[in-house]
Amino acid sequence: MPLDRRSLRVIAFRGLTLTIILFIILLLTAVIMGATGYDTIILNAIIHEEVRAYREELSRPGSPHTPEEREKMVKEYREQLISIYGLDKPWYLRTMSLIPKTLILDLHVTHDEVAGVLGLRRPLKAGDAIAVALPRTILMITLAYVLSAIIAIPLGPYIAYKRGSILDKSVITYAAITNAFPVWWIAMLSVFLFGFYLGIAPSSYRPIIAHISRFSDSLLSLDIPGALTVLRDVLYFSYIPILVVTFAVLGGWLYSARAVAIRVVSEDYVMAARAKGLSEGTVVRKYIIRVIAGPILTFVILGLAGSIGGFIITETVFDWPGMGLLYYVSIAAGDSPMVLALVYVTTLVYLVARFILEILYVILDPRVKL
Amino acid sequence: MSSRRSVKENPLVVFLKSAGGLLREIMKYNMGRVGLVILAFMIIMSIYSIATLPGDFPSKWRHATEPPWIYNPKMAKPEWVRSLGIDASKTSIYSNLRPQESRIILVLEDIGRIAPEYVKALGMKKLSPFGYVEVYRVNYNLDVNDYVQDVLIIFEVKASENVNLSRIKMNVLTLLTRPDGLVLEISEGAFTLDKVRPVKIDHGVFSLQYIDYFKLNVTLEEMKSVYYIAVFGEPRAGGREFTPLLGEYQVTLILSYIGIDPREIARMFGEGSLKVNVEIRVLGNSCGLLGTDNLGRDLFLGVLFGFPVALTIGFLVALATVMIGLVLGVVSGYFGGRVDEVIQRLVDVIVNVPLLPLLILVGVSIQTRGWAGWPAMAILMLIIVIFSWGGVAIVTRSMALSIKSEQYVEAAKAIGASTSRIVFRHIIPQLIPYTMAVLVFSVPGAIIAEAGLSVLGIDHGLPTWGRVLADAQANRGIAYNMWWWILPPGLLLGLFSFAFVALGFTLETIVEPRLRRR
Amino acid sequence: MGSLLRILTTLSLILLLVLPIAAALPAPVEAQKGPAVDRVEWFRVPIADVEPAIKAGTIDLYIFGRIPGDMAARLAATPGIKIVTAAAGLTDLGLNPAPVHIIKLPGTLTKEAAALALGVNPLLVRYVKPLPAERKTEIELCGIVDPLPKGAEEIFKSDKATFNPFCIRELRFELNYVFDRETILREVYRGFANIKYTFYGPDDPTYTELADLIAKYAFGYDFERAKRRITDIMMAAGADLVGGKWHYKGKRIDIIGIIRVEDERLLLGRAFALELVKLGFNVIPSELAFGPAISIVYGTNPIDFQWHFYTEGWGKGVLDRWDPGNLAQFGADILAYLPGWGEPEYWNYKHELTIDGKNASDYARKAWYMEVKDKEEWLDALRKGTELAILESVRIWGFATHDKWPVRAEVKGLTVDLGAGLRSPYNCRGWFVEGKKDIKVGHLWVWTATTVWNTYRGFRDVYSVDPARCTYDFVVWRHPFTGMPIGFRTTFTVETAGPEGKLKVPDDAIWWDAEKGAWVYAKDLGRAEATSKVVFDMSKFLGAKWHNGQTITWADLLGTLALYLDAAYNAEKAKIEGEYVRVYKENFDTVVAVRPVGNNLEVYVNFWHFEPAYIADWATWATTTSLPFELVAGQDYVGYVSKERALSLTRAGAVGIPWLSLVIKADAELIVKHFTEGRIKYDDYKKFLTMPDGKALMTADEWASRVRALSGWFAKTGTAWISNGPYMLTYYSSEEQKLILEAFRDPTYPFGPIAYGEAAPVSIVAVKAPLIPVGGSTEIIVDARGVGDIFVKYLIRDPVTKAVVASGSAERAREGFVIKLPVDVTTLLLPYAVYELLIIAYSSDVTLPTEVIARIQTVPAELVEKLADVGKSVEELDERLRAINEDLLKRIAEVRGALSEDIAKSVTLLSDTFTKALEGLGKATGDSIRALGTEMGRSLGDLRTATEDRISGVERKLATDIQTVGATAEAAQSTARWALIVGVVNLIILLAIAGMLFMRRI
Repeated sequence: MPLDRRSLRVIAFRGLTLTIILFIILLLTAVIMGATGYDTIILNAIIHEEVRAYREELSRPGSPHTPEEREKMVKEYREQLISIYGLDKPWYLRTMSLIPKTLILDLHVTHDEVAGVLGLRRPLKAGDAIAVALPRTILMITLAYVLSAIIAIPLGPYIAYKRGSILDKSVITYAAITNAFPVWWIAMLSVFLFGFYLGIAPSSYRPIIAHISRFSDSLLSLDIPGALTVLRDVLYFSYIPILVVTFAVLGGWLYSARAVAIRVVSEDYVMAARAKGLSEGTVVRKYIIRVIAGPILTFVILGLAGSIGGFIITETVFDWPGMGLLYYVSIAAGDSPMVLALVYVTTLVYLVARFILEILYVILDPRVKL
Repeated sequence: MSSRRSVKENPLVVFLKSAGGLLREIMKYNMGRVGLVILAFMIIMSIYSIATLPGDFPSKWRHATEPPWIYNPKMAKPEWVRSLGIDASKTSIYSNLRPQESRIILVLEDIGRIAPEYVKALGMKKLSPFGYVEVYRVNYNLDVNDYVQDVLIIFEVKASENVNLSRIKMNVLTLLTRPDGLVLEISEGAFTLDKVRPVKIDHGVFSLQYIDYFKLNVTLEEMKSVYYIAVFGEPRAGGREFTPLLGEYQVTLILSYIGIDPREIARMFGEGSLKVNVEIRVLGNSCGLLGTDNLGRDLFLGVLFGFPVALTIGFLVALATVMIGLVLGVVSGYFGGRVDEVIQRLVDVIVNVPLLPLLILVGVSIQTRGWAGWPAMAILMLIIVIFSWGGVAIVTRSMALSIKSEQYVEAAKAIGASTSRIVFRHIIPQLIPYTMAVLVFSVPGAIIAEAGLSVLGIDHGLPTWGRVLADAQANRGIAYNMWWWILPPGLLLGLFSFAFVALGFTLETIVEPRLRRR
Repeated sequence: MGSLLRILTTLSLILLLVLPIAAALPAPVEAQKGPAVDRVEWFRVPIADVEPAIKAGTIDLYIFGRIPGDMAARLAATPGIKIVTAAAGLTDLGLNPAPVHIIKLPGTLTKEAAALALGVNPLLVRYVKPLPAERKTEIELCGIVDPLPKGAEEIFKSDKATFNPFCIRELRFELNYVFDRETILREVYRGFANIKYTFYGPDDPTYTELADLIAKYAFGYDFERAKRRITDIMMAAGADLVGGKWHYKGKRIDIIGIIRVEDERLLLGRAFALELVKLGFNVIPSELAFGPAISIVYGTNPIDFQWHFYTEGWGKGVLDRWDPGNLAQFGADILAYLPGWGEPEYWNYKHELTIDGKNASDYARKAWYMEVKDKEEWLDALRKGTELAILESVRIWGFATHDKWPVRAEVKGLTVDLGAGLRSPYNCRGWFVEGKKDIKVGHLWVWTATTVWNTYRGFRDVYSVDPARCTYDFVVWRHPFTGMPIGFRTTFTVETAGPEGKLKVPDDAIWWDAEKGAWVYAKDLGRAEATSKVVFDMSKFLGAKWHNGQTITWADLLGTLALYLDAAYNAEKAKIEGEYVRVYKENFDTVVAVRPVGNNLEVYVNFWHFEPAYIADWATWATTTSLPFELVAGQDYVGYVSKERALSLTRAGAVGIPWLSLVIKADAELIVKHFTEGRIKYDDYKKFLTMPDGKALMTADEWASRVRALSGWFAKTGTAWISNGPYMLTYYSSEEQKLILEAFRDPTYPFGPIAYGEAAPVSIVAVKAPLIPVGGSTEIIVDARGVGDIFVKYLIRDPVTKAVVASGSAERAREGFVIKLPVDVTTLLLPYAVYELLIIAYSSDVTLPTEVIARIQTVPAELVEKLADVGKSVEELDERLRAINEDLLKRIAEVRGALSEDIAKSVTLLSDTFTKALEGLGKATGDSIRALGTEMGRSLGDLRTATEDRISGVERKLATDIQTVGATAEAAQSTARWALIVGVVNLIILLAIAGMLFMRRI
């Protein structure tokens, strides 16, 4: 594996461009949040409601203040609120000043409902919010990805091997169907069917928060039997989402595993191995799987990295307090710091995954010219 | 692959021939056949939808407190469900009725002669109709173990100028003769002909008579909460439970016109200078092809409007995305160097920008501008196009790179052919099959994204499949056993994208081998 | 025949009496102490899951009232589930009346003079303000005027719009007729709302004093009238209709409607927008959520015209018998809710109309700040202010929306408070499920990031307030049906020298001196006199137990008061928690001194109200009974000393520290640790407990046992919430969104279960209205029944023009309430005409009014005398009649036969169904009777049209008969027939009224 100076220089250049891209994306997000003035609208509304309530309390019957005094106090109070929420600075200063802080995740959640979604309260650092939301998304979506990878990788070559058979045809139609129907619609159906109609699963998944924290508490306190009983609750509150996402994602994985395997099966050295009369099992195991591991691995890493952001709509339909729901609630509430932190983390993870893959490409497969 | 074409042939013919060839090829694969059948169905339905639905349908859909929606039963199942044996009472509409009786009544007893039910129901207790009286009768058969939601009476008044409508008053009285012989007065109304209103069942009118007839120990308050079951049901256990009373019902509508001399009114009706057409609607729990939602809106019309929207948006967005991707891919592939570098970095950025949060943000701020309807949809689709041509550009660039290094392109360049001639004569035709496949694949993307946005609460104002699903999701407390609200839009979304996915697969297999072999 | 006639006319079918059901006093259910159930499970249920959950019984009731109308309608129609309602919100359409052009003209001009000078219709001139200094007049115009006359100075000219239709008062008033309230009530709110024509309505007790004024403005839906009037106004103002759309000076007039999306206001806003389109205006609907809507409507200057109408929504507070709030908030600028919102740099709405030189805000100020000497003057100000606000129509009123609480039928012992409905704290003290020892309560949230339990600046949302009110008892609370303040766990006596006089404060009265940090005698601080004195008997508190077994002592009453006063007046503390000071200081400023005497707490306040109970309610600023002293001290320590927690949201946001909540485990643990590890020392807090004479209200070892009990309680429940109410908070989990309340059955607890049941407003059983002799005097008897002393008011109104002819109140007499109509009143009426008689009845115990519209018919006075003679001499006529017209008698007999037999049957039928219904009636719900009241009003209204036609038909027939017969020799025969027909007509009216009354189950 020659790691000559030229490929080193290429990797370094690739690393630099990826970081520039990351910076551009952050800039773009900040501009979007600020330019539409969406977050200022929300903050203005909140300030207005608080000032109105305060003026109402001030003008209670029997209040000794003269109207002028009252106006002065209201004005002071409004200035104080404006500085607390940082509305005195123009939007570009406000959102741009957040970008350097984003790089070191020194950001705080500014809206209560964003903290409420996670079952936490303010003051809350954006990093802690992500640290709480991530495991829940991992529990649902990434677990489903891993599940479908485990099924797809061994099955892929097997299907490729039996190209044209009924199995092959059914996998293709299954992939076409699951690719066609949006995941969140399947989620909607499952909530209605299993949640409301049959009642064998909850109709809203927010209480998972309590069960996960009880599970982690009993684990930390090494009370294994306790943890097992709590695990039953955790599973009751998560088996449907995991199955739904697996069902939706498996089709795509099987299709790509099959496609990759087909290319490999038709390679000559596999033909030769089979000609030598090796048993199907050894041929599949020794030759096909080892070779397709590379492309499949790329698919797995990119999939996992992609899943960090969570399925925004699916999590909203399930009311599943993961990264997706956090993403949606912080955008709807116009919480710029939280949105920037989320964009930063999800894009960073995705770009790092791509960077690793590109390094692997350069090292493993000199043929590929950059 | 296509041989060198002579310049003379007119490009349209070329296009048609190759398209025809492609279609025949697709038909060879059964996945392709399925795709084409669904696509044909979609196109027919869109044409039907554009032909039948009125232009202002989106704003009609949003005004849920206006007719025609308030004249429909609410949460009603689709009509065809009855033929499958599911218990859902039918909705019958009796329109442009002719009165069975029409006479001037001055003396109290006359009403008995033309409407015996009146005396049976009310005896002399109520003020007998007076003036020019019309009696309408319609029969309704409750054939299934289910209740009826309401008996609605709608009036439409047409009069020539010289008729002063505000001076003519109309009293409405509706009687229901039940199979068990009980005659109930179920609703009443009184208004001048210039301010006519629909009349619905009013529990206050019949509860007392009902309690007395069945000797129930139920208070009026408890009757108020079960009234619509009682009208078409038989009480059990002293009025605590009810079971539907099947059989032949007769709705008798007694209209009496007063305010000016009844004889004058009779003359006006006679000579047609005043016309009141009456429509009686017995609202059962089934209505229309796909039933109604919780506001009484006909879901079939809502879903029907979704067809043309899905097709137009799907194609436009796909076409735009593929075209931009193709052009930029070829440019960066063919020219290379700094141009290539800039475009590739731009691609890297737009591929990684989080599209959905951006769409949510823009969707929310659009609502503050009040551009509901097509303008809002156009903006959202524009953003989807801007951020989704990256994938196509990457592939077309690599293909353009490999084609560029072919001998005959080198040769054409050597003899001084202009770059545009090379690109348009040699490179682009090679990419057509791939672009066709990608185009087909990306058609469903736009409408799925729109549906997702609607479920998240972004209302662009058009009644698309996503909007219907979003309303179901918002009312999931009741929608969970209203399958006719959730399944059709979801299935159509799936069917729509399955058609293009299937076509995409077929095109890929057709295009695949040739490209790979290179 | 004559006798029959007399029987028929006098026999008025008085129905059997409907006994008033409501128990005015709380009826204890069982002798046992504490609430009716042992355990309450209180957990979150999302709105979408409410219907399946209550049907399946996973919850017994849902205490969050804002469920959608169609869900409530479906649940109401589900056997086994009922819907309890109470008016809890208000919706209206706020209009933007801003001018598009403001100029100055020389000289002082009236509106007409200014219009003349500018050559425009006076309609266009919204407001003229004389500027004596500059000898000019500032003129606000609703349409651009150019060219301006010479000498005119332009202050503002809008570039966005050339004309604002809503700037014209007359046009705004017409919009009241464009709003189809009946259809929206039926289709959008599904009946769960009251129609309101202004901010006072049948859902406000104060409405009883204004009902006759508001009855003049009953805006029915009359699109034709509004379209005609508005078209005239627009034409007069110089606008023209181009292609069906209004234009002004060539520019199309656009109306931007901000419509809220979160609730029924979406459909309501769209319906109103459609009406404006039908009127020819180009409407741009902008459907927005909270954030964008509020910041556009209240955050921009009205003259920027970013909005023209906005679907406003307001929450209603607790029931208030004498409530100046609606006028002050919606009709005047006291609370800055008039367009311009009191922002100094915005254009602000200025009143156009005045009565006796004063405008709506002047009257509102008099009523709000009690600048009156007695109740009559207060009421007069309220009435004039309300009428001005109706005429100015800056808001088109729609509905008092009902909160709707689904309850399973098995749940008993509820208290349906007319103001707060099921959220009233009486409920948890009386509710139980038949045959079960616990109850399951659903709420939208148990915990959100802003749900905080701390007695300084916590309790800012319903999710914290609702459960907390079941854990502590109040000194004074509002009676659920009258809205009058009553003693809850205390009794009080009030002595006042107000509004001007002063009482002497006794020498041994005490007050907290924040500078010295000690209790001192009030006289040392110069606090020698106060307007009023309230004496609270605290014996039900002192000696009873806190939930953790500690005894309630004076330390808990006065010590906590000192801590709260110190937080308001201590300079350092004021710098830490500014919000607390801003809100509480000015209320504490009105309290002069307190004085503990035996078990009584005397409070001296500078506050006066014509209703003494309101003075006692105000004096509760000095009574602090929800938490024991150590928990208030704990909050004081972490808030002001260790500064680890913020006590208010603003400080939490500004400094970035958590907002203290005593039910969150982390916060409770922090406080308990500070106590057990001795950082919160007795010596630091001794000063709050030492009286001026040196006596300590709590000894050191009492403090030690309090600390032990506190840490014991935290170990058991995980919270630091200890109080004295019927329930103990024993479990609270923010993650699980669940809390548990367990019954506090300590023998020292004074109360058993409390249940007021449901209110039965006054019922109007019968209205005996004879023929009204024009020019003669007569009496109308109203039979009204209810709890407590009843008041009946009446109003005679022309049914078409709604013009009020006469109004007044009925006097109580033996046979009912008598409305005397003297000669000077009846002369105002036209003969042979039909009038509406509006009757409003309310009682001292149930202040929600019942409204009934009856019909009265007038005849010339001399005819009535003739009728009286006829009555006397009718027997002799009998024989002569029989001889003259055999079939007439047969027909009369026939009619009589049918009538009497039928009457006999119906009387028996009526009476026995009635007695049967009576047992079944058991407990007719308040809202159904109130709804019946309005329903009866409405159906009587329908009857009105039915009878009106009958009468107009009969009347016309009568007129023709009388002409033909003429005053010939057969006068006797015709008068007999006339008397019969009038008698029959009268009988029919009575029958109809009785029939209607009966069917409506009065």
